[in-house]
Amino acid sequence: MSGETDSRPGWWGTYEVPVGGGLVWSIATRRTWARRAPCEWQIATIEAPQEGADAVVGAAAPHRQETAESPDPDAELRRFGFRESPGTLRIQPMLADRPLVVDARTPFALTPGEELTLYVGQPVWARFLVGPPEVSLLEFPLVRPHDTWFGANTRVGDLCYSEKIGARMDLANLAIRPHRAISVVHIQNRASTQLAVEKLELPSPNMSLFADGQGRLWTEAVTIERREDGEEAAIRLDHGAPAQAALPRVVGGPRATLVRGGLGRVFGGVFGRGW
Amino acid sequence: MPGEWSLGLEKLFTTVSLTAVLRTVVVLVVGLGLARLLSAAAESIIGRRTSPQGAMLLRRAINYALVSLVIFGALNSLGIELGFLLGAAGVLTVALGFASQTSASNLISGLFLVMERPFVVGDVITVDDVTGEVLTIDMLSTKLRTFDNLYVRMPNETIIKSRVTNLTHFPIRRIDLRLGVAYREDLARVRAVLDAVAAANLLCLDDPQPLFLVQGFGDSAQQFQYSVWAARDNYLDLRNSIQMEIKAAFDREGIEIPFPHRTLRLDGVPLPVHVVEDGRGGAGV
Repeated sequence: MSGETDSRPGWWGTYEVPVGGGLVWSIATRRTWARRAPCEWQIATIEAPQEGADAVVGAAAPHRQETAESPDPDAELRRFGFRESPGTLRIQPMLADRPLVVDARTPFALTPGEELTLYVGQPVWARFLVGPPEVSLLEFPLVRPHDTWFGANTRVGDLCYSEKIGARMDLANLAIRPHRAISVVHIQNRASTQLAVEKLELPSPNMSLFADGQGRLWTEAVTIERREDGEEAAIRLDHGAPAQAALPRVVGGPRATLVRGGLGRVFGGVFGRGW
Repeated sequence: MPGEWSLGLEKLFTTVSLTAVLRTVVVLVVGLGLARLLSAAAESIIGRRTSPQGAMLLRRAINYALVSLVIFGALNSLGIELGFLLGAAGVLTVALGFASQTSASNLISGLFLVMERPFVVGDVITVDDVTGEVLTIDMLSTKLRTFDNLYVRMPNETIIKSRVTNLTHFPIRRIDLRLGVAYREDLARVRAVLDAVAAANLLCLDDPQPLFLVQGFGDSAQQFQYSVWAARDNYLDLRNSIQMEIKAAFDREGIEIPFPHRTLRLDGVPLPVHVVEDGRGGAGV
């Protein structure tokens, strides 16, 4: 009998799986199967092509099976060999492996000296680890975001993912999804000119994930400060979960380290495009 | 003359003892081994902070310098006077220079390639009609691997003189699709269908936005260009998938991609065409 060792809400967690057993797990429009054989782990996943997949809320915690169900024949199957397969499977939420470009939906301007807080839903990846000793098998996005480019021109910039749902000024207006993490973004305009915001780039690979007592995912708050008139702004990540997350605990660390107070091009729409 | 030669040889060689020979062998074996070890170590240390091409160049430079030192040391331990040898080498170099202008030109071109860096190891380039991945940039030539897995040696001088296109220099690339639809189709609707296809393809970049450009009125079709952007690594995937999706979307929406039409007229009157049986059960015109 498989045993769940973590009773807190959420689709992530650590599971003991006996040989021959498995887990089936659905979130948004993606269905995933994991099963353990004596000398291998098999993980299969399929995302049903569906308009508005991102709006699908469904998230079932992994459903344990003593005899693993066969995955959908169209699912992408990955196999991992071991001398003796380890019995502990951990499913860990992660943020995107590239920066995220968030659309402001309706562009707005921030007057000199003003500041504003936005709420953003970031797409989440699932990473599968087995142990002991714990090793990472694979990871994939629960709902694959769109590719985009963020830069002053087509030569210099970052390859990013785009967030089409957009930023909200009121947390109550942000649709809570199990496959999304909430980011609180503070924007401060310390310059003497207006700051027009059409898009902004968040350093997702540098951010951590926290789960609150209700099973919602949060990232640390981000502060973006434009100090002087110009194209660049300083970006700073707070330590720990934001105040809005009740009883938070860390569930996923950053993929990379952010240079403290690093300056970079964070806003889009302020400056003309070069193509 | 023989006297001069013997004088030269006497200047070149002093007493060569067995000890000197042994010492020379030791210098060569140990020195060349150390040169190889040190250059490989330098490549592995610097290689983490620089490009593969930079690391390769550094290893070769260190290796050549150390090997030269070892050879000079070995000759010195044999008692050969290096000044005399270098003088002779100078004369020899001039003679060889005249005899190897092509090699020298390639060598100099190779230096320009390294300094100018129009491409680096791992880039995909097109030179004349050859497209391939750069394997190495050597002193005389650059080696490419074409996509059908052929090994192409391209003289550096040829590359310097030719138009070189680096296909992987920038992180994103544009795919230009040249399309045509029947004259009865509404181009605004066609554009909306194309934009929907691009928006649904996750590999197609949101920004820069797709470009719709009317090219003109052809013999059989309204012609236009639709350009989408992709990450460099997804270029081929998007090029395939978006064209398949456009064809499927046009079929679904009833948008006709026309083939060339010909209307036959005889003295200004359309030529009547009748379908008749050919007597073997088939139809003929």
